[in-house]
Amino acid sequence: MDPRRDTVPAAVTFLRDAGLVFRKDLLVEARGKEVLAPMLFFSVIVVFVFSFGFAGDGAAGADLVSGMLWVGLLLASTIGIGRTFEREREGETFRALLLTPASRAAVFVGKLMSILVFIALAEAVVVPLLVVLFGAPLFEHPFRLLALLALGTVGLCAIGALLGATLMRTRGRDVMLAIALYPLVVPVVLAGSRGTAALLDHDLAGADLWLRFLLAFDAVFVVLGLWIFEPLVSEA
Amino acid sequence: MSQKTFSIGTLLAALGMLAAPMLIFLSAPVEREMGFVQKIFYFHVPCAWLMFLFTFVCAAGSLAFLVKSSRRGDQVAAAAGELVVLFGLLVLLTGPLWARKAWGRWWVWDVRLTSSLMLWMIFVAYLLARQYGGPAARRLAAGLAVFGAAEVPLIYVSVNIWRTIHPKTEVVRTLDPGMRPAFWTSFAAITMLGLLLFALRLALERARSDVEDLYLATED
Repeated sequence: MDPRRDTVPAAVTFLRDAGLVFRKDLLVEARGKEVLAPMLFFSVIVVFVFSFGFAGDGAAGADLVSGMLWVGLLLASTIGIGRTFEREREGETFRALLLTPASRAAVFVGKLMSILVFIALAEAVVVPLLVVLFGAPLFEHPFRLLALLALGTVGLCAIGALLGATLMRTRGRDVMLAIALYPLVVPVVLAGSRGTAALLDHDLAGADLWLRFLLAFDAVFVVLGLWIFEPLVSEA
Repeated sequence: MSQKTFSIGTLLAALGMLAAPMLIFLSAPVEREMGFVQKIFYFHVPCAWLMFLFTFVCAAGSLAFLVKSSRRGDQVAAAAGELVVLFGLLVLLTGPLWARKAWGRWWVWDVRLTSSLMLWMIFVAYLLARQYGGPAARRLAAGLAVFGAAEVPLIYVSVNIWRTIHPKTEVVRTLDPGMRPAFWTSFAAITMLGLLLFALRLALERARSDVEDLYLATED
């Protein structure tokens, strides 16, 4: 244990611990690519499956494109979140992570950040793909789109990290994650896809309304997560 | 709940269940626009109230279970979670029957309908996690219940924004004084029924965990 631990302010320790968990996840991922490889490929497949299913002749309206974007992201992130925690379970490393002097809330923030990076990479694949396949003018309001994606992903990942961590010793993990995650993130998908559809229709006021909603949603679930992660993952 | 309280409660609920239909169908006036279909309201609203009541009971029990490892909390949450799904089902079945007459369609993506449906699905997931996830899934289920209750206002707000951008059918009605006795009798009887079911279910859950303890004790 770091001897300086007692002398530095708690906030600094917290951020450093969260940063270490985050760095550890990225490092493991950089070596094995266990999460990213299947998830990125899956997000490409999903977009193609949607194209064949919904837009046979290649034309797609604002509602359809924004729906494909957000439902695709939800499906891909289920894979990303599931794989992230499955890897910890297979190596039995999650218990070791909980045994370190880092606070549980710091572990939660670290996990949240690493899942966030994985899903951001999936977004970097899906958004250009939708632009290319359907000619959707997604890049006309780049900052608002970025804000919608960022805030939506934070909400998605906060709930995903909380649920994923409780799945470790659960039977039927894969199904349970989807069953528990989807009903809870309905507001995120609704806000994200309606907001994106508003952007595609150049309705900036509508998009801003959804941005504010996502901000409130994220605030509730990140705070709830910091507080409830510890009892959720305890071994009792 | 003692045996005596339970018996008295059962008697009251039974009397209420007898009185409510008489008041509803004989004394309450037939609503002018909706006609006979409006009678669903007397069952629909109490069920919706119980659904939300048990949502918060389940969340409170789950929170006690998570934070304090309270077994009692877990048992309360299990009993309440099932009742959320039961009364939610009644709400979601009676709602469309009325909507068909009022709006001409079985289902409308209205704020209350959509929010209730989303909440109901969260609690179906809660029951599934408890049922099929093994003992370790109790924490996952408890998390779901807590998040679900925390999401109630968020779901409502999100669907409200969604639906105010589009035109929406407003059905606001004030209760006619002649309908009040029927409504409140029905409300009290159905609430009593809900509380009795909850007490029974809780007793069952406690007996079940006592049996588990005894098994573990004999194995040692």
